This record gives sequence, structure tokens and C-alpha cells, in this order.
Amino acid sequence: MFRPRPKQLEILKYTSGKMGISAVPGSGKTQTLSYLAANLLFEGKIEDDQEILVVTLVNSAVNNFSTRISGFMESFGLLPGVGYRVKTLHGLAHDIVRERPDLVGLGNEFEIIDEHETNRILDTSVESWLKRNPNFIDRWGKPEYTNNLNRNQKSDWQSAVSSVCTNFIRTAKDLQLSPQEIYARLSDLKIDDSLLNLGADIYEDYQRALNYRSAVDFDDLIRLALMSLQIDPDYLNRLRYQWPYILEDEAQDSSRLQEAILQTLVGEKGNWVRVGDPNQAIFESFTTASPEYLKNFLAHPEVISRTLPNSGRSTQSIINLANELIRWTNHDHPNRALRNSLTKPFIEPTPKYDPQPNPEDHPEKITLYGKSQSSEQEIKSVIASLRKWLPVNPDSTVAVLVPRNFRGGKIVESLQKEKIPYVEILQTSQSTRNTAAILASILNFLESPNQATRLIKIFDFLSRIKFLLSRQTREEIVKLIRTCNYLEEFLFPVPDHDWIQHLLHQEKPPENELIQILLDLRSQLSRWLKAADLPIHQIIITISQELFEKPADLALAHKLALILEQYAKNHPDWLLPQFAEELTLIAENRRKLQGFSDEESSFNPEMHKGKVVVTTYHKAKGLEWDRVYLMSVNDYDFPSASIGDHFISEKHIYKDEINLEAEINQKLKALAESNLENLYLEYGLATEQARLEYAAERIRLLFVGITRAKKELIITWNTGDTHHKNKKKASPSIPFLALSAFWEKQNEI
Amino acid sequence: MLFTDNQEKIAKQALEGSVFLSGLAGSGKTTIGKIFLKYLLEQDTPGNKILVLVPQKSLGITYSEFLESIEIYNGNLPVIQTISGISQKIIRLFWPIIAPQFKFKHPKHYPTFLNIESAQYFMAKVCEPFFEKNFFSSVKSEKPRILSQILDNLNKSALVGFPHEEIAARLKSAWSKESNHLIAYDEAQVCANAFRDYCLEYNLIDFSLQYEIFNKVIHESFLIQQYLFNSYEYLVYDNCEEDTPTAHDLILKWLSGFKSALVIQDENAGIRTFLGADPTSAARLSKSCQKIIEVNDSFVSDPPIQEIISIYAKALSHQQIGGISESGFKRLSFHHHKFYPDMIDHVVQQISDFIKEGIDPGKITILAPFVSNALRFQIQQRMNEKNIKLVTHRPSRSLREESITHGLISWIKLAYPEWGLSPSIYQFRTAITHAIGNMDPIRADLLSRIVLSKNTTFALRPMDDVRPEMLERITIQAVFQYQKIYSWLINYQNIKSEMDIFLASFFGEILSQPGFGFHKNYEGAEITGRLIESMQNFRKNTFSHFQKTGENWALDYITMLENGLISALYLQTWDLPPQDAVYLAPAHTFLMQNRSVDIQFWLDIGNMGWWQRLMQPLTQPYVLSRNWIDGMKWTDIHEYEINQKNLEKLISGLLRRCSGNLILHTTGYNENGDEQTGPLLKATQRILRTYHRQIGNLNV
Repeated sequence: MFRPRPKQLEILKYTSGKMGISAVPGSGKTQTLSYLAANLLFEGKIEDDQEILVVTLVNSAVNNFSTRISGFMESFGLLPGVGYRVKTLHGLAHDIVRERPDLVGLGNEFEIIDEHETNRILDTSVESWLKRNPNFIDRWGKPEYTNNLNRNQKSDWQSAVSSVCTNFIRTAKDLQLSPQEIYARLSDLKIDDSLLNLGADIYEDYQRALNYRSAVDFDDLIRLALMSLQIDPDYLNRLRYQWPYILEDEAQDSSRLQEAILQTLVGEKGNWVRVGDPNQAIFESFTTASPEYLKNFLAHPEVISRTLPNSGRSTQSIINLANELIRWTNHDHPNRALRNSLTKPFIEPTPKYDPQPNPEDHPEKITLYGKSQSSEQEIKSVIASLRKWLPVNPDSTVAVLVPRNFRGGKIVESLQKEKIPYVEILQTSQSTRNTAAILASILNFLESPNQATRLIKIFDFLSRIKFLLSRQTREEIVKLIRTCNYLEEFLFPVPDHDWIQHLLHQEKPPENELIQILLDLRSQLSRWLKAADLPIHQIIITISQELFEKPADLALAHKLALILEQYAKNHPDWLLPQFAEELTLIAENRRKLQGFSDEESSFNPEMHKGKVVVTTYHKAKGLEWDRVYLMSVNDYDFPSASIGDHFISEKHIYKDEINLEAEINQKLKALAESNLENLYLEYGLATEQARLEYAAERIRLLFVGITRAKKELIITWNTGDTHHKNKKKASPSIPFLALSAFWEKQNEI
Repeated sequence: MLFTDNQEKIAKQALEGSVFLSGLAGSGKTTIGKIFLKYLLEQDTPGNKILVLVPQKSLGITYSEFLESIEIYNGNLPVIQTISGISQKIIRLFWPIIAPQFKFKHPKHYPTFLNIESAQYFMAKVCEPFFEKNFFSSVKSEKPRILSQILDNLNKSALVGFPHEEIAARLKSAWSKESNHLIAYDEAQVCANAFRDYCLEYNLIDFSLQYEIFNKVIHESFLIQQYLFNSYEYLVYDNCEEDTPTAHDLILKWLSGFKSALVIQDENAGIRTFLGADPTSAARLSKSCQKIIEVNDSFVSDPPIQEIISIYAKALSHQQIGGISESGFKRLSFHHHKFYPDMIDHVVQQISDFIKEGIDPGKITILAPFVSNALRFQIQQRMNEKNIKLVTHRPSRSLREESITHGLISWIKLAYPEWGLSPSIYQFRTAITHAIGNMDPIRADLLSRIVLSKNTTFALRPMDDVRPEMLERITIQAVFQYQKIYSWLINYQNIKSEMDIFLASFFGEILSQPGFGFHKNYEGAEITGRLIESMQNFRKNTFSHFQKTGENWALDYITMLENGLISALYLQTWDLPPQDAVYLAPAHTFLMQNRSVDIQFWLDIGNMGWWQRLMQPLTQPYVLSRNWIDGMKWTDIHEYEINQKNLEKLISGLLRRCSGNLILHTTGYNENGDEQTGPLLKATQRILRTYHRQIGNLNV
């Protein structure tokens, strides 16, 4: 039973109007907000046909909220699941657009295109643009990256320019500018700027390609949702009635458009509660998201402002370390421009007799590992540490946090090699990928049934999820299959050419159990091969019904069937090979699936005791573990905008140390504001500004990382990847050094 | 068949003049229509003097079945027709008089009537240059959808009866939103005009032009009007609310000419709005009939079901529900599932239990807002496992969905190497698996990799040089059959014919012969037949075009088929589903089937599709209807009210066709993995809550 502490009670007294709450990590804000929602419902503040709208940042929080609210409602004796709606901003935007697609020029069957498809469109468009505009490369490239480019160099340019354009398009959508409007402004102001021209051309191409597919991207969803609210006051009024209360979580990551959508929905006299922690604003890069929106809201005279400073999550030592990061940033950060990156309040432990007391303090369980190591060595030492720790702590939770998915993949590889149990939360959820991977491998086999390796791969899956074989049996069968030279004699025997019969007539025939498995495998695979003729949705459903048992897997398979059915409709010439390729993309994580938000959100660290959770700093937000490893805390991943720092967006192919993404965004914003002065600013200033913003965000990211740990924390750094030959070795990040110094001093005392 | 006294009385009244008969679904109106027919025939009225007019063909089937059952032939059978059928007949008959009035460039040649497919084909041709000029850059829609909306607008103008040049103006005047969109309406207008000009130039008549011509001549030409009016003396006009305003105009004029007429209107219906149905316009007919009779009986739904209908109406319109009777509530059950396939499992289990209890499978229907292929297949499979017969509504199937079609296309590509379209290994493997008897996919794969060549113009190689062990692996029998195919195709290179003729002979001389894959594959033979027919239709419809341009029709056909611009649709062999099996259909389709059942399953009631109308960026059925006041803006209030009203109509229409139980299912995640809590679910929740409060469960 939730027993609110005094600071939480103050918030639960809310009944109407606007309220802002600044909360520290682990202060129970989800719990408080969920309780507030249930309480408002209990007190009968809304009608039968109204809902309390809860908006949160990521899918993983949606289910968390729903479960908590319904739990409270049940405890109040109410019917759960009624009277509220929990959505991410994208989910909300989708709901708004889906109900009236006609308002923004869409039909009901519009498709939401994923990142993989967007990149595909952009790449094609960028490739042909670069061919038409060779001067662009001359203008921006290093001499060795301008003439007679080899294939790798071309691909570097291609991906750099695609990334610049992705940002341009995102910002343009955020500023609600269409390609036509950009062209009009450029011509009105007589601007001829190679970056803006690039952005506008690609943006136009890109939108056309989306239109032809009846598709919108994620940024369009947000933009179009706001547009529908703005152009149809009747629709807006209907939605305002429908959602008389809006509770917003993670408000520190609110973007300009998010704030605009919610503000529009709330209206002047509406009810709006915003909760956030400005210190956890980590989704700002190249978006208009900013903790400033929350800060301004909190400061508004009509807003009731509250704080949630108590956190029972971590030990006192971990709290001290996090608070030191705030203090040091505010007072001692060598780059004065970064001193506002973190803000007070400091984290306070929970008061006496609190139902959630802080764990017992063990300062010795905090390590800031200062030794220089290469990126591979860093992985090795973390793995070695885990190997020692896991067997002794089978009932504890542990996570390894990395700055990027790519690095996460490397850790996973090493864990696999060392046979250490792990769970990863990188891009798509584990189960989506497993389901898709199994189906993809089967389709791949159906496409090329003469390849024994493909057959063995399927057998491997089947042996685990269907035949449930021991490792030894599995290996024996694989060995046997490898001896079969002609697969048709295994799967489609004819008289005198039957491989299994042949095995039986050997001097030493295999055991009966093995023969039976081979016969089962034959019947299964030959059946699927014959089914390869069916329409794709039927193949998928047929196979998955024979394979899966869990409802979630079956539901996912149904969804995959539906997606492929749609592809089949859009690409009538597609056959098995193309469908197999699409499924492989999903399985390999290069294509994200919409829907089934709880597949990701059901992630509860407590369910994975004794296993290593590998995830990114970003994905770890909102989660907590007993022990946390923070990796790569060097000046590349956590730069401080000082001389010599490297920035991920300043590509090595550019002439100067320049961040074209930042430059193009700055110009575009100036264009949107018709700010001539900024339009003619020299290149380089935006790069510097971007460095500061990025560095500030990375300090907050480190803060988020530290506050994930309940009892034990290990922070390491590495000298970086060495695949670029001219790249300088990375050093420990400045905040890391500052915290190490603080920690040493603490321990001396 | 037994009739009530009242039904017989009404039918007799109709014999004496004209009767406008209205009533809710399930009140026995169509039965009265049948009695009326029976009386007419019993009075020795010649069948061909009786016209049974229906808005769509499938609605006439019940009449033709009835006529077969009563076995009274007076020389001819009564004529069951739609206005479209009548209009095409009239245009063919009076072409020499009609053609000069309509700016046809070749009035002396007979016209070609376009079906949906060829109309789409020509629309695509006509619009191509406009797409190149960047038309529709503001519309987020795929090309085929844009084309079909332009055709749709043309059809609406003809069905509602306004000049097609006014489409854009009408749409624009009601549009109050984003101003960029206005350009798209203008662009669609330009394309519509260009298409119409093209039709006039090549003597092509699409559905809209057919209607427009007919509307004009039937009202302006005394000769044609008299011909038509004199053709029939008796009229049954059923489901007039599903017909279009111009159809009603014609009947208004014609009605007094009939010796007797029975006009039947289903109250609270008019479901096919998106196809131009206009119940308001249909109501005009009542004023021209001598008698108006309303029937209030309910032969299907009983009071508890009617109570559910009225409770839903209240729940939807936010009125107080009041009380719910125990007997009403018992008819309703509600099941929630987290995942979609769980719901399917449960539904099939429930159906199986009902059948075990003795309920006739034909009296059970499963309804959903949309029926995807995946859903259809999932249910079909589970029903098969339980030996339950299922029919699913599938108005049309596209040939390009069939793998046999892909295989046949591969043979065509091989037969015409000059097109430069050779099949991939996988495509060829599909072709060879179908073509050679008892061929398995692995051996077909081996064979394909050996014989398919990328470097020669004619893409196949003989098997002469292949190693003997490989021959043995593939089997001598299969190699022998392949050689036959190879020789036939080589031989064909010297005696080339049109593509459809090629396919017919290849099928006849090779594929259907003993030892080949289609020898006893009747479904395959049917698909081949349909494909040949589709090709022939295309060739016929586009003859003048290709004659003029000199392009290759066959190559165009194949490319368009593969690009999805031609779907090669064909109708299922039945128009009305068999009545002895569980019936799965989209909810709206069920309403157009004249079928009542004992048990209805409604799937995924949280889905917004139960409530939301079909929305398309370039067309708007309500604005293009006759009831729309010129200059009025379409607002969210209209949108909301239309959806609410339609859902209410849908619920009442469905339940009036239900005599037993309504079983509702909802899922946490729908088919797409989305969570939706649409108005039907919310209304159901209100009903549940009211009931629980009523029985004293205060916690809701």
C-alpha cells in the first residue's frame, strides 16, 4: 500500500489548475502522479465519457503508469482501466491525427514510417543530390576528402550528409515549416546558402516520397497533431472535454511542440500537472526539447510550484556522489558556460520512518576506476568483475550502461562468449527480435532449401523452443545433418534415395531417439516448404502456430503477418526472398516495430536477478539496479567543450572542426525567424554553441547514470576506439576526474 | 414459405396501385416484395413485364432464389436489375442517337465500356504527365489511391447529378482547414476533366460517363424514355435507401407509369453513403406513391434485443440509460483479452461449444470493422481444426495475390525474351514447382539454378550437358518434363502470338497434360482461366489506345500487374455466401446481405474502425451529396455527429438481424499492436457500469 510522505501529500491535495513539480531521481514521482490520477477518479472529478490523460516520455513508462493507476483504482474499489489514458507524446499525437486524418490531408490508412525506411529514402535522395551538386563536397570537405573519392570516402560523405539532412528535416518540422515555405523564404530574402539549399532540396524530395507511400514519420505525427488542433476549433473543444485533466511526466524533456500541443489541449483555464527533473533532461540534442520549458513553467505566477526532494533509492554515498556532481558543476566546472547544466535541489534521503528507507551505506562499494584502458580492455575488466560478482550475488540486480547501442552490442558479444547470463534492452525489444529472427531464418531456408547451414540454423531454434533437446542431442543431430550431401534425400525422399533409410542401414545406425527427431524435422520442414507457396501472411501464421505457444509471441507473429501482408499489397512483385529480407531487418534491429508498447515496458530489473542487463544510459532512465557499471566515461562520450575535446557530430571528413548539423539548424532557425543577422553569421559559431549544449546534456547523462545505482557503483573510462587512424586517444572526462578527486578525499576522511 | 395476414394484405394493396413500404430491418419487407411478385405471376403477368430493381446485384439474389422456388413461369422470368445494368443496356441500344449528343470523337463506332480495372488503367495513363508536373505534392497518398479517388469523384457527380466540372468547387467550398489542400482539389479536377476528354476521344465509357449519359437522355429524349417506361409494367424497388439520388429521380418520373409498384425502404439504413446511397433522397419516393405503409413487426429480434438497441442508442448519445432488464442483459456478454490471437482462440472455442449445443453454424456470424487476410486465415485455420465450416466475405480477390499467377507470369516472361524481363531464380522455381507434376521445392531449386541463365536472350538452357548424377538427383521424370517445356518454348519463338493466346496454348498443350502440374489442379486451372480472361478484357478495352500509340499492350499489362496498378480482380463464384456455415464478414458488409442469425460475435470493439468513416483526402461523400448545403463548411461537429449516427445505425442494423445473443470481444492490443478504446467500447462500458450499479455493485 502506498503511504505518501509529507512532500508527496502536498501534491496529492491538488484538485484543479496548473501545478509544476520538480522531482529528484527516485523520489517516487511516478507513484505520486499515478496516485493523483486514481484519486481524481475516485473523487468523481470527471464524467463517464471523460478521461484523465497521462503523458509520458517513453513507451517503457506507459505500462508502468497504467499498472500503477489500475492498482490504486482496484484498491479504491473502482473498475480498473476506465477513465484514464496513458500515452507517450507520439502515441497521443497518433491518437489525435488518427481520429481526424482528413484535417491534415491524410486518409485513414496512413502508415507511420520507421527510421529504417526514412534512412532509405534519405540515402537515395542524398546520393543523387550529391551527384548533381559536386561543389558541396569541395566547399566543406578536407582536401583529401574532395577529389577522386574512393568507395569508403563516398559512403562517409553519404552518411554525413544524410545525417545533416535528417536534422534539418526534423528541425524544419519542429518549426512547422514545409519545404515550399522554406523555398519561399529563401527567395524572399534572396538567400543562397549551400547548406540551406541542400536541406530544402532533400526535404522536398523526402516529403514527396512519404506522400507517395501514404506515410508520415514520427516528427510529422507531432507536427500534424498540433496542426489539427490549431485548424479545427470544434475538434479541439471535443478533445478538451474528453481530457479535462492532463498529467505530464518527464516534463524536463518537453519540446516546443510537445508543450504547444499540451498547452493547446489544456487551454487557459484547464488543469495541467507537470512533473520533471531538469537534471535528467537527456533527450535534447538536435531537438527543441529543453528543460527551460519546465523551469519557466515552474516560475510562472499562476502555477503552484512543488518539489519532491526525498529519495530512498540509493545509499548515502551514492547520493553524495550525485550531489557532488551538482555542486561541482554549479561552482567548479572549468567551463563557466556549463555551470547551469545541473540545478538544485540536492537529493535528500527519505525522512525517518519512511516506508522506503535508503539502503545501508557501503562507501567501499563505489569505485571510480581511474586506470587508462583501451575500449576492449575496459570491456574485459567489466566482464571479469561481473564474473566474480554474479555467483556471489544471485539475488541482486546489475546493469552495465553504455553510451551507444553499438557499444552495447560489443558487451553482449563478450557476455555471450563468456557464457554469462544477460538481458539486453537496446533498440527493439528482445521478444520482437527473437520472434522475427526465428521467422526470418525459416523464410531464408524456404527461399534456399539447398543450403544445409540454413537448415541447421532452423534446427537450432527448433531444438530449443519446440523439441526441447539437450545440448548433446542437439550437437549429435547437427553432426548427422552435416553428413547429408543431398538435402532432397532428407526432406523429399524418393525410392532408393532416402537419407534416413540410408542412416538406418549403416553399420552403426544412430539411436532411435535421433531418428525420430530427424523424422519430425523432415515432416515439419517439408510441410513448411510446401506452404512456401501461400500468400506471405499465411506462411507466417502457419509457421508461428506450429512454433510458438506464448500469447505475446503469437500476437507478435500476427502483427508481423499483417505488416508483410501490407508490404505484399504495396509491392505486388515481392516474393519470399524480399519478405525474408524485411523480417531479417526487423530481427537485426534495423527496423523498429510500432505497437505492443508493453513488450518493452514490462521490463522490470527485479525480474532479472542474477543476469546482467545491458542497456544505454538513455534507456536506463526510470530504472534502478543494486549494482551499476557506468562505462566509457571519457572525454569523447562525455566532453566538456574544452579545447581538444572531440565531438561526435564533427566529422573527420570536414575541412574545419565543424558541426554541420548544428550550423544548418542555426541557419534554419534564423530563416524561420527571418533573422537576417543570424542568417549571415559566419560558420563555426553554431558549432561552438552545439558543443556547449552537448556537453551540458552529457553531464546530465552522467547524473542519470549515477542515480540508477542503489547500492554499488563502478565507473570506468577508456581511451576510445582506434579505427580512425588519425584519431587522438581519449582521456577521462573532466567530471570523472572531479568526482574521483572528491571520492578520494571523502575516503581519506 | 408462410406469410402473415398483414404481409399478404400489404402485397394485395400494392397490386392495386403504388405502395411505399417502410420499416426497420427484420420487419418482413422483402418478404412482402416476394408475395407481391408471387401474386403478379399468379395473375399470369408476363415475367418480362416485371422489374425488380435493387441498388446492388447481391440484393437481388434473394428474389431470384425465391422465383426459382415458386416455379411459376409466365413465358419469361421477372427482370432483376440495377440502374447501372439498365443504363448500359439503353446506351448500347440507342448508341447511334446518343453518341452525337456527347462530343464523342468517333460517334459512328461503338463504345467500349470500361470496368473498374481498365478505368484505373486509363486514369493512370491520363494522369501520368500530371504526376510528372508534381501534382498532388500536398496529398499524403499512394498513386493508385489518388487515382481511385478521382474516379470516385467522377462517379459521385454522376450519381448525385451535378456537372463533373463542379467537383473541386464543391469540395473547396466546404473545406475550412489547411489552405494548401485547396490546390489538391483543383489538381484532382484537372485530372478528372482530362480523363473525361480522353474517354470522349477514344469512345470509352466509364461508370460515371455511363451514368451521366443515361441521366441526360432518359430525361431529355422522349423516345428513349418511352422505350424504357414501356418495357415494364410492374415494379418492385427494394432497398431504395441504398440507391442514389439520380436513380430516385428516374423512379419519381417513372412511378406513375407502372400499373402497380412496391417501393421498399429500410428505415434507419442507407449504409452505402460512400457509394452514393442517399436515404433522404429515397424518402421523396413516398410522396409519389399512392399509399404509405409502415411495418412494425420484428421477425428476427425480440424485445430483449430491442432493449439492447435502445440502450446503446442512449449510451452513445450520453443520455441517462435508466434501467436494464435482466432478460436484456443476459443476451449480452463481454470478454476481454490482452492479445489478439487469444481473442480468436476464445471466439472459435465459443462457436464450437454453441455448435455442440445444437446451434446451426449458419446462424452464427463473426463481425469485425475490417477483416484482414491475416484475421481471416487465423479463424479459418482454427475452424478447420474443429471441423467447423466457415465462409468469409471476400467480394473480390486479386489474381496477383496468387502464387500460380506469379508462376504463369514467369513463363510469359520466358516466352517473350525480347521484353527483357527475365524471372528470378525464386520466381522460376515457383513456376517449375507448379508446372511439373510431383515436383518438390528442393529439386525445383536445383533445376532452376542449372537451367536459368542470365547471359542469353532466351533465358532457359537445355538439360543436355548436365552431369548424370545431377539428373538423378532431380529425377529423370522431372528432367524429361522440363525438356518438353523447353522444346515447346523454343518452338514457340518461331510462331509467336498474343500473350493471352500463348498462355491458353501453353496451358492446353503442356501444363494441363498428364505428368504436368496442372493436370489435376482445378483451382490452378481456374486461376489460369481468369488470368487469360483478364488479359483478354484488357486487350479488348485498350485496343484503340495501343493501336494509336503502337506500344505493346502485353508488356504494359505485365508491368502494371507487377506494379500493383492492375489488380486483376475477379469475383468469387458465389455472390451470396452459403447459408450453412459460420459467416465472417466486415460489419458493414453483413448489413448488405439480408441475412439474420442467432448469435453475433463482435470482435475488437475498442477499434476505432467501428465508429470512424472511411476518410480520403480527395473526396468527401457527405459534401458531394445532394443534401449538402452549398457554401456550408464541414466541421468537426459534422464529423462527430455523422460517426455517432452511423455507429448507432450500425448497431441497430446488426442487432435487428440477431435473434439470440450478442457476444462482445475486446483486446488490449489490437491486430496492429495498438491500444484503442473507441466509442463502441466506451458505450459498452457505460452499459456495464449502469448494470452493475443497478444490481448494487457500488464499486463501479
